[in-house]
Amino acid sequence: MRLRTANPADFAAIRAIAQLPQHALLTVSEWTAKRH
Amino acid sequence: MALIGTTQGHLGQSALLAEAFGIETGDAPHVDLAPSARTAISSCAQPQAIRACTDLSDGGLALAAFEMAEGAGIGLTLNDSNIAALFGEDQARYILATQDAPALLALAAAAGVAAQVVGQFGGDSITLGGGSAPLADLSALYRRSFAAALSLA
Repeated sequence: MRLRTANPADFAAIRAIAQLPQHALLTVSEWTAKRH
Repeated sequence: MALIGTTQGHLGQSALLAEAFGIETGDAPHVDLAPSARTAISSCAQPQAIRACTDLSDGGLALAAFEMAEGAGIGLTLNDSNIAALFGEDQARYILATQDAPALLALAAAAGVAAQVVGQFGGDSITLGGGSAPLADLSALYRRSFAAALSLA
C-alpha cells in the first residue's frame, strides 16, 4: 500500500516500470470505469 | 522465481494507480494475518531451497521483483502480462528466488500454500508485460531518486 512506505525511490521506479507494458493505461482505464 | 500466496489483482489504492496515473481510489487490500503468517512460515521452512526472499507491498509483483533484481545486479523477466497480476497489491505474498522451483512448489503444496513460478532472473534487462528496459537505466533512476527527493543530487 502506497502510504505504508512512502519511498520516493520506489515511486520513481514504479513510474518507470509502468511504462513497460503497453496496455497498462487501458487496464487502469477499464478498472476505473467499472467503479463508476 | 516463485511467488507464494494468492493473487487476485487488487489495484485499489495501489502505487500503480497513484504514482503512474494519479488515481487514488478504491479500497486498500484486505489483510488477514493468519494466512500471511502461514505463507511466511512456509517460505522459511526450507531455507536451503531459497536464495532470496522479499515481501510484496507497494507496486506488487513488478516492483518487488525489480527491487530484488536490482539489488543483485541482474535482469529479470516476468511471465504474466496481466496488469493487475503485475501491479496488484494483494497482501500475504512473497517472492522467492530459487534454483529448484519444482522442489519449492512441492514444499508449498505440502504446506497448503499457493505458489507458482512467475518469471526468471537473468540477463541485463527488466522485461514485463511485453516491454523491456535496460537494468542499468532503471537502476540509475532508482538509486538517484532518494537523494533527489532530499535535494542531495
